Amino acid sequence: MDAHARLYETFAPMVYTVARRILASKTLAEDILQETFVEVIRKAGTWRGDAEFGFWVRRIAVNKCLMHLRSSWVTRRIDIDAEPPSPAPGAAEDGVALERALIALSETARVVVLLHDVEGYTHEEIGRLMGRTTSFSKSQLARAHERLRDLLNDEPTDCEPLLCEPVLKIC
Amino acid sequence: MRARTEDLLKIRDGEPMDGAMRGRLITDRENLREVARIARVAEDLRRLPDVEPPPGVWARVAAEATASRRPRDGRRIVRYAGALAASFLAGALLIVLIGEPREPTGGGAPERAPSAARQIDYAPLVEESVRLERLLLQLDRGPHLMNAGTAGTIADLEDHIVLLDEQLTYAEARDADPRYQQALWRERVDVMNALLHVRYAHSRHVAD
Repeated sequence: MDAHARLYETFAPMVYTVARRILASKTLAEDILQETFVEVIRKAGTWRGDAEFGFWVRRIAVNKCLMHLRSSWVTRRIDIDAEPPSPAPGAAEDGVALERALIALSETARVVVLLHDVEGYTHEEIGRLMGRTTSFSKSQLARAHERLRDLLNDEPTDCEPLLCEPVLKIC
Repeated sequence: MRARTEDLLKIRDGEPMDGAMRGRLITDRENLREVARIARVAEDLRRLPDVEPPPGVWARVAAEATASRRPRDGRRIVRYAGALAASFLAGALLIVLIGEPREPTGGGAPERAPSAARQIDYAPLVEESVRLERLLLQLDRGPHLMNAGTAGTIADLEDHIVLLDEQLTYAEARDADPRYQQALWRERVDVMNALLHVRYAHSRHVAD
Protein backbone atom coordinates (compact mmCIF):
# COMPACT_ATOMS: atom_id res chain seq x y z
CA MET A 1 0.00 0.00 0.00
CA ASP A 2 2.97 2.36 0.37
CA ALA A 3 2.99 3.36 -3.29
CA HIS A 4 -0.77 3.86 -3.19
CA ALA A 5 -0.47 5.94 -0.03
CA ARG A 6 2.06 8.16 -1.77
CA LEU A 7 -0.25 8.52 -4.77
CA TYR A 8 -3.02 9.53 -2.41
CA GLU A 9 -0.81 12.06 -0.65
CA THR A 10 0.12 13.61 -3.98
CA PHE A 11 -3.26 13.75 -5.68
CA ALA A 12 -5.84 13.81 -2.87
CA PRO A 13 -5.91 17.62 -2.48
CA MET A 14 -6.46 18.03 -6.22
CA VAL A 15 -9.25 15.43 -6.32
CA TYR A 16 -10.92 16.79 -3.19
CA THR A 17 -10.75 20.34 -4.52
CA VAL A 18 -12.26 19.42 -7.89
CA ALA A 19 -15.09 17.54 -6.18
CA ARG A 20 -15.64 20.20 -3.55
CA ARG A 21 -16.04 22.92 -6.15
CA ILE A 22 -18.19 20.96 -8.58
CA LEU A 23 -20.48 19.46 -5.95
CA ALA A 24 -20.34 22.31 -3.43
CA SER A 25 -20.52 19.78 -0.63
CA LYS A 26 -17.97 18.60 1.90
CA THR A 27 -19.72 15.28 2.42
CA LEU A 28 -20.01 14.45 -1.25
CA ALA A 29 -16.47 15.61 -1.95
CA GLU A 30 -15.26 13.13 0.66
CA ASP A 31 -17.28 10.39 -1.03
CA ILE A 32 -15.79 11.32 -4.40
CA LEU A 33 -12.29 11.38 -2.95
CA GLN A 34 -12.77 7.89 -1.56
CA GLU A 35 -14.43 6.47 -4.69
CA THR A 36 -11.85 8.03 -6.98
CA PHE A 37 -8.89 6.54 -5.15
CA VAL A 38 -10.49 3.13 -4.82
CA GLU A 39 -10.90 3.20 -8.61
CA VAL A 40 -7.40 4.57 -9.18
CA ILE A 41 -5.95 1.72 -7.11
CA ARG A 42 -8.06 -0.86 -8.92
CA LYS A 43 -7.30 0.50 -12.37
CA ALA A 44 -3.72 1.66 -11.93
CA GLY A 45 -2.65 -1.28 -14.10
CA THR A 46 -4.80 -0.05 -16.97
CA TRP A 47 -3.21 3.41 -17.09
CA ARG A 48 -1.28 3.24 -20.32
CA GLY A 49 0.99 6.21 -19.79
CA ASP A 50 -0.39 8.08 -22.79
CA ALA A 51 -1.64 10.87 -20.53
CA GLU A 52 -0.21 12.51 -17.45
CA PHE A 53 -1.16 10.43 -14.41
CA GLY A 54 -2.62 13.45 -12.60
CA PHE A 55 -4.77 14.26 -15.61
CA TRP A 56 -6.07 10.69 -15.66
CA VAL A 57 -6.90 10.84 -11.95
CA ARG A 58 -8.59 14.20 -12.44
CA ARG A 59 -10.78 12.84 -15.25
CA ILE A 60 -11.90 9.94 -13.04
CA ALA A 61 -12.82 12.41 -10.30
CA VAL A 62 -14.78 14.65 -12.68
CA ASN A 63 -16.66 11.67 -14.12
CA LYS A 64 -17.55 10.53 -10.62
CA CYS A 65 -18.81 14.02 -9.75
CA LEU A 66 -21.03 14.04 -12.83
CA MET A 67 -22.36 10.59 -11.95
CA HIS A 68 -23.26 11.87 -8.51
CA LEU A 69 -24.99 14.89 -9.95
CA ARG A 70 -27.11 12.68 -12.18
CA SER A 71 -28.59 10.89 -9.19
CA SER A 72 -31.49 12.80 -7.73
CA TRP A 73 -30.97 11.91 -4.08
CA VAL A 74 -27.49 13.38 -4.28
CA THR A 75 -28.87 16.65 -5.60
CA ARG A 76 -31.04 16.93 -2.53
CA ARG A 77 -28.07 16.30 -0.24
CA ILE A 78 -26.09 19.06 -1.89
CA ASP A 79 -28.58 21.66 -0.75
CA ILE A 80 -28.16 20.60 2.86
CA ASP A 81 -24.45 21.05 3.33
CA ALA A 82 -23.51 23.49 0.58
CA GLU A 83 -20.91 25.86 1.90
CA PRO A 84 -17.70 27.33 0.53
CA PRO A 85 -14.47 25.72 1.68
CA SER A 86 -12.77 27.43 4.61
CA PRO A 87 -10.23 29.85 3.20
CA ALA A 88 -6.65 28.69 3.37
CA PRO A 89 -4.48 30.76 5.70
CA GLY A 90 -3.41 33.86 3.82
CA ALA A 91 -5.92 33.26 1.03
CA ALA A 92 -6.81 36.35 -0.92
CA GLU A 93 -10.16 37.93 -0.15
CA ASP A 94 -10.93 37.80 -3.85
CA GLY A 95 -10.53 34.05 -3.72
CA VAL A 96 -12.93 33.73 -0.81
CA ALA A 97 -15.48 35.90 -2.61
CA LEU A 98 -15.10 33.83 -5.75
CA GLU A 99 -15.64 30.59 -3.81
CA ARG A 100 -18.81 32.06 -2.32
CA ALA A 101 -20.01 33.24 -5.71
CA LEU A 102 -19.44 29.76 -7.16
CA ILE A 103 -21.62 28.23 -4.46
CA ALA A 104 -24.36 30.74 -5.26
CA LEU A 105 -24.50 29.70 -8.92
CA SER A 106 -27.09 27.22 -10.08
CA GLU A 107 -25.71 23.69 -10.07
CA THR A 108 -25.66 23.49 -13.88
CA ALA A 109 -24.00 26.87 -14.35
CA ARG A 110 -21.37 26.02 -11.73
CA VAL A 111 -20.57 22.67 -13.32
CA VAL A 112 -20.32 24.18 -16.80
CA VAL A 113 -18.08 27.08 -15.79
CA LEU A 114 -15.77 24.77 -13.82
CA LEU A 115 -15.58 22.15 -16.55
CA HIS A 116 -14.98 24.70 -19.29
CA ASP A 117 -12.89 27.43 -17.71
CA VAL A 118 -10.96 25.34 -15.15
CA GLU A 119 -10.88 21.74 -16.35
CA GLY A 120 -10.54 22.61 -20.02
CA TYR A 121 -13.44 20.58 -21.40
CA THR A 122 -14.88 21.76 -24.72
CA HIS A 123 -18.54 22.69 -25.09
CA GLU A 124 -19.05 19.53 -27.16
CA GLU A 125 -17.61 17.38 -24.38
CA ILE A 126 -19.65 19.14 -21.70
CA GLY A 127 -22.83 18.77 -23.74
CA ARG A 128 -22.16 15.07 -24.18
CA LEU A 129 -21.23 14.49 -20.51
CA MET A 130 -24.35 16.27 -19.31
CA GLY A 131 -26.62 14.68 -21.88
CA ARG A 132 -27.36 18.09 -23.42
CA THR A 133 -26.40 20.04 -26.55
CA THR A 134 -23.30 22.08 -27.28
CA SER A 135 -25.43 25.25 -27.38
CA PHE A 136 -26.76 24.42 -23.94
CA SER A 137 -23.21 24.38 -22.59
CA LYS A 138 -22.42 27.70 -24.28
CA SER A 139 -25.50 29.43 -22.95
CA GLN A 140 -24.90 28.05 -19.44
CA LEU A 141 -21.35 29.34 -19.50
CA ALA A 142 -22.62 32.80 -20.48
CA ARG A 143 -25.20 32.71 -17.71
CA ALA A 144 -22.58 31.63 -15.21
CA HIS A 145 -20.36 34.57 -16.10
CA GLU A 146 -23.24 37.04 -15.96
CA ARG A 147 -24.24 35.74 -12.54
CA LEU A 148 -20.64 35.77 -11.31
CA ARG A 149 -20.35 39.37 -12.44
CA ASP A 150 -23.42 40.30 -10.41
CA LEU A 151 -22.29 38.33 -7.40
CA LEU A 152 -18.79 39.72 -7.45
CA ASN A 153 -20.13 43.15 -8.34
CA ASP A 154 -17.28 43.42 -10.78
CA GLU A 155 -16.81 46.54 -12.73
CA PRO A 156 -15.29 45.94 -16.15
CA THR A 157 -11.59 46.64 -15.87
CA ASP A 158 -9.29 48.25 -18.37
CA CYS A 159 -7.88 45.85 -20.86
CA GLU A 160 -4.82 44.38 -19.16
CA PRO A 161 -2.02 43.61 -21.61
CA LEU A 162 -1.08 40.39 -19.80
CA LEU A 163 -4.59 39.02 -20.18
CA CYS A 164 -5.22 40.40 -23.60
CA GLU A 165 -2.14 38.95 -25.17
CA PRO A 166 -3.31 35.34 -25.49
CA VAL A 167 -6.98 36.17 -25.70
CA LEU A 168 -7.25 39.18 -27.96
CA LYS A 169 -4.67 39.90 -30.55
CA ILE A 170 -6.00 43.42 -30.99
CA CYS A 171 -4.96 44.69 -27.54
CA MET B 1 -23.26 48.05 -29.39
CA ARG B 2 -24.28 46.01 -26.35
CA ALA B 3 -22.86 42.53 -26.83
CA ARG B 4 -24.23 39.21 -25.61
CA THR B 5 -22.00 37.45 -23.08
CA GLU B 6 -22.06 34.35 -25.28
CA ASP B 7 -20.46 36.34 -28.12
CA LEU B 8 -17.89 37.88 -25.81
CA LEU B 9 -17.00 34.40 -24.60
CA LYS B 10 -16.48 33.36 -28.23
CA ILE B 11 -14.03 36.22 -28.61
CA ARG B 12 -12.30 35.28 -25.34
CA ASP B 13 -11.98 31.65 -26.38
CA GLY B 14 -11.05 32.36 -29.98
CA GLU B 15 -14.08 30.48 -31.27
CA PRO B 16 -15.21 31.05 -34.84
CA MET B 17 -17.83 33.75 -35.37
CA ASP B 18 -19.10 36.00 -38.08
CA GLY B 19 -16.27 38.32 -39.11
CA ALA B 20 -18.42 41.42 -39.41
CA MET B 21 -19.95 40.87 -35.99
CA ARG B 22 -16.58 40.24 -34.45
CA GLY B 23 -15.33 43.46 -36.06
CA ARG B 24 -18.20 45.45 -34.59
CA LEU B 25 -17.79 43.95 -31.12
CA ILE B 26 -14.10 44.49 -30.76
CA THR B 27 -14.22 48.11 -31.79
CA ASP B 28 -16.27 48.84 -28.68
CA ARG B 29 -14.00 49.56 -25.73
CA GLU B 30 -16.62 48.49 -23.20
CA ASN B 31 -16.88 45.09 -24.86
CA LEU B 32 -13.13 44.72 -24.74
CA ARG B 33 -13.10 45.50 -21.04
CA GLU B 34 -15.84 42.93 -20.49
CA VAL B 35 -13.89 40.29 -22.43
CA ALA B 36 -10.85 41.06 -20.28
CA ARG B 37 -12.98 40.79 -17.16
CA ILE B 38 -14.40 37.36 -17.98
CA ALA B 39 -10.91 36.20 -18.94
CA ARG B 40 -9.70 37.36 -15.52
CA VAL B 41 -12.52 35.51 -13.76
CA ALA B 42 -11.52 32.30 -15.53
CA GLU B 43 -7.90 32.89 -14.57
CA ASP B 44 -8.92 33.52 -10.94
CA LEU B 45 -10.94 30.31 -10.94
CA ARG B 46 -7.93 28.35 -12.13
CA ARG B 47 -5.77 29.96 -9.46
CA LEU B 48 -8.03 29.17 -6.53
CA PRO B 49 -5.94 27.23 -4.01
CA ASP B 50 -6.44 23.52 -3.43
CA VAL B 51 -8.49 22.51 -0.44
CA GLU B 52 -6.91 20.03 2.00
CA PRO B 53 -9.02 16.89 2.30
CA PRO B 54 -10.21 15.93 5.78
CA PRO B 55 -8.10 13.34 7.62
CA GLY B 56 -9.18 9.75 7.71
CA VAL B 57 -10.25 9.34 4.11
CA TRP B 58 -7.11 7.41 3.20
CA ALA B 59 -7.84 4.82 5.89
CA ARG B 60 -11.27 4.26 4.32
CA VAL B 61 -9.78 4.07 0.81
CA ALA B 62 -7.19 1.49 1.92
CA ALA B 63 -9.85 -0.55 3.73
CA GLU B 64 -12.21 -0.50 0.75
CA ALA B 65 -9.48 -1.29 -1.76
CA THR B 66 -8.39 -4.27 0.35
CA ALA B 67 -11.95 -5.43 0.97
CA SER B 68 -12.86 -5.20 -2.71
CA ARG B 69 -9.87 -7.34 -3.63
CA ARG B 70 -10.62 -10.04 -1.10
CA PRO B 71 -14.09 -11.08 -2.26
CA ARG B 72 -12.91 -11.02 -5.86
CA ASP B 73 -10.08 -13.41 -5.04
CA GLY B 74 -12.54 -15.43 -3.00
CA ARG B 75 -14.97 -15.64 -5.90
CA ARG B 76 -12.15 -16.76 -8.13
CA ILE B 77 -11.10 -19.49 -5.72
CA VAL B 78 -14.70 -20.66 -5.39
CA ARG B 79 -15.09 -20.59 -9.18
CA TYR B 80 -12.02 -22.72 -9.78
CA ALA B 81 -12.69 -25.03 -6.87
CA GLY B 82 -16.15 -25.58 -8.34
CA ALA B 83 -14.73 -26.20 -11.78
CA LEU B 84 -12.13 -28.58 -10.36
CA ALA B 85 -14.75 -30.56 -8.47
CA ALA B 86 -17.00 -30.68 -11.55
CA SER B 87 -14.12 -31.87 -13.71
CA PHE B 88 -13.17 -34.62 -11.25
CA LEU B 89 -16.78 -35.70 -11.10
CA ALA B 90 -16.98 -35.75 -14.90
CA GLY B 91 -13.71 -37.70 -15.03
CA ALA B 92 -14.88 -40.20 -12.46
CA LEU B 93 -18.17 -40.59 -14.33
CA LEU B 94 -16.30 -41.16 -17.57
CA ILE B 95 -14.15 -43.80 -15.90
CA VAL B 96 -17.25 -45.55 -14.60
CA LEU B 97 -19.06 -45.30 -17.95
CA ILE B 98 -16.11 -46.50 -19.98
CA GLY B 99 -15.27 -49.05 -17.35
CA GLU B 100 -12.15 -51.11 -16.91
CA PRO B 101 -11.36 -53.74 -19.54
CA ARG B 102 -13.47 -56.72 -18.76
CA GLU B 103 -12.45 -60.30 -18.66
CA PRO B 104 -13.84 -62.13 -21.62
CA THR B 105 -16.81 -64.13 -20.42
CA GLY B 106 -16.75 -66.67 -23.16
CA GLY B 107 -14.87 -69.90 -22.98
CA GLY B 108 -11.47 -70.60 -24.38
CA ALA B 109 -8.16 -69.18 -23.50
CA PRO B 110 -8.61 -65.94 -21.77
CA GLU B 111 -6.14 -64.10 -23.92
CA ARG B 112 -6.66 -60.50 -23.03
CA ALA B 113 -6.71 -58.40 -26.13
CA PRO B 114 -5.80 -54.81 -25.48
CA SER B 115 -8.92 -52.68 -25.58
CA ALA B 116 -9.22 -49.78 -28.00
CA ALA B 117 -8.87 -47.46 -25.04
CA ARG B 118 -5.52 -48.92 -24.05
CA GLN B 119 -4.22 -48.41 -27.56
CA ILE B 120 -4.71 -44.67 -27.43
CA ASP B 121 -1.40 -42.91 -27.52
CA TYR B 122 -1.42 -39.36 -26.26
CA ALA B 123 2.34 -38.96 -26.25
CA PRO B 124 2.28 -36.53 -29.24
CA LEU B 125 -0.02 -34.26 -27.23
CA VAL B 126 2.37 -34.37 -24.28
CA GLU B 127 5.26 -33.48 -26.59
CA GLU B 128 3.28 -30.63 -28.12
CA SER B 129 2.46 -29.33 -24.67
CA VAL B 130 6.14 -29.38 -23.72
CA ARG B 131 7.03 -27.54 -26.95
CA LEU B 132 4.47 -24.82 -26.22
CA GLU B 133 5.80 -24.45 -22.67
CA ARG B 134 9.26 -23.89 -24.15
CA LEU B 135 7.93 -21.25 -26.56
CA LEU B 136 6.18 -19.48 -23.74
CA LEU B 137 9.38 -19.35 -21.75
CA GLN B 138 11.13 -17.72 -24.69
CA LEU B 139 8.70 -14.81 -24.66
CA ASP B 140 9.87 -11.82 -22.73
CA ARG B 141 8.26 -11.81 -19.33
CA GLY B 142 9.51 -8.33 -18.40
CA PRO B 143 7.43 -5.99 -16.26
CA HIS B 144 5.33 -4.30 -18.95
CA LEU B 145 2.22 -2.25 -18.46
CA MET B 146 -0.73 -4.40 -19.37
CA ASN B 147 -4.36 -3.48 -19.57
CA ALA B 148 -6.73 -5.19 -17.19
CA GLY B 149 -8.45 -7.16 -19.95
CA THR B 150 -5.21 -8.78 -21.16
CA ALA B 151 -3.99 -9.41 -17.61
CA GLY B 152 -7.34 -11.00 -16.74
CA THR B 153 -7.29 -13.23 -19.83
CA ILE B 154 -3.75 -14.39 -19.11
CA ALA B 155 -4.59 -15.07 -15.46
CA ASP B 156 -7.68 -17.06 -16.47
CA LEU B 157 -5.75 -19.14 -19.01
CA GLU B 158 -2.97 -19.84 -16.52
CA ASP B 159 -5.54 -20.84 -13.92
CA HIS B 160 -7.15 -23.13 -16.47
CA ILE B 161 -3.80 -24.84 -17.07
CA VAL B 162 -3.30 -25.30 -13.33
CA LEU B 163 -6.75 -26.84 -13.18
CA LEU B 164 -5.96 -29.24 -16.05
CA ASP B 165 -2.68 -30.25 -14.40
CA GLU B 166 -4.57 -31.09 -11.20
CA GLN B 167 -6.94 -33.25 -13.22
CA LEU B 168 -4.09 -34.96 -15.06
CA THR B 169 -2.37 -35.77 -11.77
CA TYR B 170 -5.61 -37.19 -10.44
CA ALA B 171 -6.24 -39.14 -13.64
CA GLU B 172 -2.76 -40.68 -13.64
CA ALA B 173 -2.97 -41.55 -9.96
CA ARG B 174 -6.26 -43.34 -10.62
CA ASP B 175 -4.88 -44.91 -13.81
CA ALA B 176 -7.86 -43.40 -15.55
CA ASP B 177 -8.96 -44.34 -19.01
CA PRO B 178 -6.46 -43.13 -21.60
CA ARG B 179 -9.27 -41.50 -23.58
CA TYR B 180 -9.96 -39.26 -20.63
CA GLN B 181 -6.28 -38.47 -20.23
CA GLN B 182 -5.99 -37.84 -23.96
CA ALA B 183 -8.90 -35.40 -23.78
CA LEU B 184 -7.20 -33.58 -20.91
CA TRP B 185 -3.91 -33.33 -22.77
CA ARG B 186 -5.68 -32.09 -25.89
CA GLU B 187 -7.40 -29.43 -23.84
CA ARG B 188 -4.09 -28.51 -22.24
CA VAL B 189 -2.53 -28.02 -25.68
CA ASP B 190 -5.45 -25.84 -26.77
CA VAL B 191 -5.25 -23.65 -23.68
CA MET B 192 -1.46 -23.39 -23.97
CA ASN B 193 -1.91 -22.32 -27.57
CA ALA B 194 -4.40 -19.65 -26.56
CA LEU B 195 -2.05 -18.41 -23.83
CA LEU B 196 0.83 -18.31 -26.26
CA HIS B 197 -1.22 -16.24 -28.71
CA VAL B 198 -2.30 -13.73 -26.07
CA ARG B 199 1.24 -13.41 -24.67
CA TYR B 200 2.70 -13.09 -28.16
CA ALA B 201 0.14 -10.43 -29.18
CA HIS B 202 0.92 -8.49 -26.00
CA SER B 203 4.69 -8.69 -26.54
CA ARG B 204 4.21 -7.41 -30.12
CA HIS B 205 2.07 -4.53 -28.80
CA VAL B 206 4.77 -3.62 -26.26
CA ALA B 207 7.48 -3.82 -28.92
CA ASP B 208 5.51 -1.41 -31.18
